[in-house]
Amino acid sequence: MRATVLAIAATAALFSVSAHALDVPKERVVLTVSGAIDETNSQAGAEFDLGMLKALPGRSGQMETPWTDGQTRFEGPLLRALLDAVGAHGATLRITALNDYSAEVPVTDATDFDTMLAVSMNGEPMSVRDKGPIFMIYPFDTNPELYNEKYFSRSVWQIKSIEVIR
Amino acid sequence: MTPALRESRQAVRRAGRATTFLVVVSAVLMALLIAMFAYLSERQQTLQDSIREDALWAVYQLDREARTLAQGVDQALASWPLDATEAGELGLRYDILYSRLTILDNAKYETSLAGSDGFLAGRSAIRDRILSLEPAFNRLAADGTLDWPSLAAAGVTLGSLVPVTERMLTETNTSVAAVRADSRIEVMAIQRATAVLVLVIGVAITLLILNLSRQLQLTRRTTDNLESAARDMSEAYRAAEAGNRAKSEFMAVMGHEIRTPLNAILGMAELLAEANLPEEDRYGVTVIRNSGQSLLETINEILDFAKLEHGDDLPAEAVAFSAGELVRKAIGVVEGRAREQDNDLQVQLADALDLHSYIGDPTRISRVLINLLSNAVKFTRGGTVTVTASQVETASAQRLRFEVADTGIGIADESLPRLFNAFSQVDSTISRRFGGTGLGLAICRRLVEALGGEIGVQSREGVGSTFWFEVPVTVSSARLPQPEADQQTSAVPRLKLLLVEDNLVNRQVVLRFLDRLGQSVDVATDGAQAVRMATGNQYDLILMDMQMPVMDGIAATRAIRALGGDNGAVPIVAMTANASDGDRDLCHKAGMDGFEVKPISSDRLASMLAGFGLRRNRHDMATSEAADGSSAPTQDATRDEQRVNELLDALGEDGFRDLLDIFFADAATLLSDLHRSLASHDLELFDRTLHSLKGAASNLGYFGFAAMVEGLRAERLDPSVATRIGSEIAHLGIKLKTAA
Repeated sequence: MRATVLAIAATAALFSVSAHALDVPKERVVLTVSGAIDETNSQAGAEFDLGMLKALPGRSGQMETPWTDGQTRFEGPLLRALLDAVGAHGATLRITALNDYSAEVPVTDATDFDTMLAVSMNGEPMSVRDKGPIFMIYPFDTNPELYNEKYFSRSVWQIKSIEVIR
Repeated sequence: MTPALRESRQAVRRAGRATTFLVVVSAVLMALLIAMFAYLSERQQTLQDSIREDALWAVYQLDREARTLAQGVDQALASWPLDATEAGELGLRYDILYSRLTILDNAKYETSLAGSDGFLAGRSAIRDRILSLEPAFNRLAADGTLDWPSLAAAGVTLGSLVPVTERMLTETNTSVAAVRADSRIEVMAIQRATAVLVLVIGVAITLLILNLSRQLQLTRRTTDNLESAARDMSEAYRAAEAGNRAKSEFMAVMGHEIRTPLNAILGMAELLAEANLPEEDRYGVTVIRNSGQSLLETINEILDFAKLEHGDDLPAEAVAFSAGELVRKAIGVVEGRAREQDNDLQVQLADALDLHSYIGDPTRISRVLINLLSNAVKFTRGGTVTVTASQVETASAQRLRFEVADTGIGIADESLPRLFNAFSQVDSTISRRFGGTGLGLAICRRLVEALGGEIGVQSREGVGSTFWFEVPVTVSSARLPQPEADQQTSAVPRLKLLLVEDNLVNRQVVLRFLDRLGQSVDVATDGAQAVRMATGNQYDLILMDMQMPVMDGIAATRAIRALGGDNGAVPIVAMTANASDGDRDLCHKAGMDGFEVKPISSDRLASMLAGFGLRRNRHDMATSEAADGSSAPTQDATRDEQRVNELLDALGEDGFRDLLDIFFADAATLLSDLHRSLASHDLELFDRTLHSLKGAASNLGYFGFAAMVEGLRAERLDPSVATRIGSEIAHLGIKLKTAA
């Protein structure tokens, strides 16, 4: 009896910490997160416009990638921050691009590395023609060991949606 | 070396060579392997650098997007007019295709692929077509409108784009496959080479291990062989050593056996020489004495060498001594013979020598010096022998350097190296002419080396030789007390003596000498008797033979020392034919005060008695000196005062007068011999007679007369010589009578 009360209290505390209400997008939706998430703001799941993404804790890094010429500066929210924001609790992310290409990425890539969802390149927002609007960038600058084909194939661009799979 | 030993040594060497070869081969192979790995790693590095986006995938996506857009345009044409969603969808499709184009432009691919003509041409064709669509789709994106002709034209362009992208896809696939195949072939080649190399290294190392174990085996076998050879050798050495030891012991025994009768012969000959004998007997006695003396020297040398060889010599002593005194004493030993050989003895002592005393082994140093001096005197006739002594300083120590230079026969160069070897006389004719064992220099070398010194020689045949040796010494700042000998020679005190000697002849000789020296002597014939007598009487000195029946000298000395009191403290001097340092040490340990080697001369006895008298009874000495002084003959310019005093001290006035009588009687005989030689023109007799006369005169201190006689020897058979000598002798006789 007493154990049950304690368990309920603990759950409530946990809930109050992780649960923060998700805004409704004011502009055009660029990203939809679905699947095993706690926070949603629409039928489809959790929808984000660029402003909401930029508001999440993020990073910026100057690095070389196989898809750009020379040193390029990327900026955007951390994948980790996005997953926190939606209260994701899964092991794998299925990331889908505008052309319906999708790649499966383990959640550990978000927790172990400062992987970001880049929304700007060299300070400019990225158009579809420039592989925008969202480009998943691994921290090749701080973790050079990631610079290989395995992570290249996970670096999805023109991201449109993320599905959290348990 | 035994054949087995030689063979195994060769086997070990062969195995060693094989090992070296294998080690070199292994090292080379290792180097190759390392080079191979370096290449691989470099290759890996290049691979790392060339991490590239997958070109095939990029081209595939381009092709796919081109088809998707073409399909979209076809559908749009079919369902004209477009609604806003369809238009937006079409715009997005174009944007995506466009982004693939830039990827193709920017992305880094395998250089061989990206640089190929086909790829470049394909890309350029694709770009042209996609960019030609841009204005229409830009308009679509700007205002959402698209006119039919533009869409139709886009359909045509896309229709021609798809075959191009498809061809490019095929080409890229072929190219990527070729690169993959090439790189696989290369990797396999490297793998194969590495495998071969590792195999060869494995073989080399296996061989090396086998060879090493064989070498180990061989080495062990060689060691066993060596050990057994060493065992055999040490057994052989022991056997030889045992034989040598037995021989040495036999020689020591024989030496003693020979010396005992020789002592008797020499002693008796000395006494005979002083008796009044007819001329031919006197000559015979002289021959006996000289031959006996040289026989004794020869035997002593052989025995000394046997003892050195035997290895039972004592360690070097460290006692204080005066270098100058040492040289002067050594000179004294050979003086007589040098005179006989008409050699001039010269001494050059460095001033520094008399400033210090030295600590070293004076007994051995003087043995070496005397030996070198005897040689110099022996091999020089009518020449000069010069002794030089000096102190030299080497980096590590102080040394005394002694040089004995002569103007004798010299030594041929080819003989010099063998000179210090035992049993090698320079040549056999020398040993025939001069006699000797040839062991002297070998003994010297051993003695000097035992003292940590060096010995050497420079010589020119016919010109002379210079023998030198250096021995390390410690310089002591303390000055030595003036030797007592200077004062001793002045008088022989009367002492109460005990002579302990079993041999009748030896006893007789010593008794006669002592009698002449005016001593009262008790006699004991063995050690036990000596002890009894020493118990009952207070003696001033005991002269103790070493080997005796009943109780030997050492035991007797111990017994007397055990008496205690004055009787136990009596000075005891050993008299023995055993001249070794070992015996000397034995006597010293038993408590003896001195050590005399037989045969002991009258002079030696006298100076010994003087020494002990001085030590025991200085007041007795004084009175005895006063008595001697009163009875001394008046000064006579023709005689050397010092020599006369010496003789007076040794023989007493009566003894001296007897000696003078003998001299004048002898001189008369010699004068008649001289006349005879002149009459018969016998040059040899003439020379010998003058020589004898000169010797006798200088012995008595008639140095002036001796010099005159020596000068007359050059006059050959001049008849005036006899007259001049006769008148001079008469003159001396008259002078003597007047003085008395």
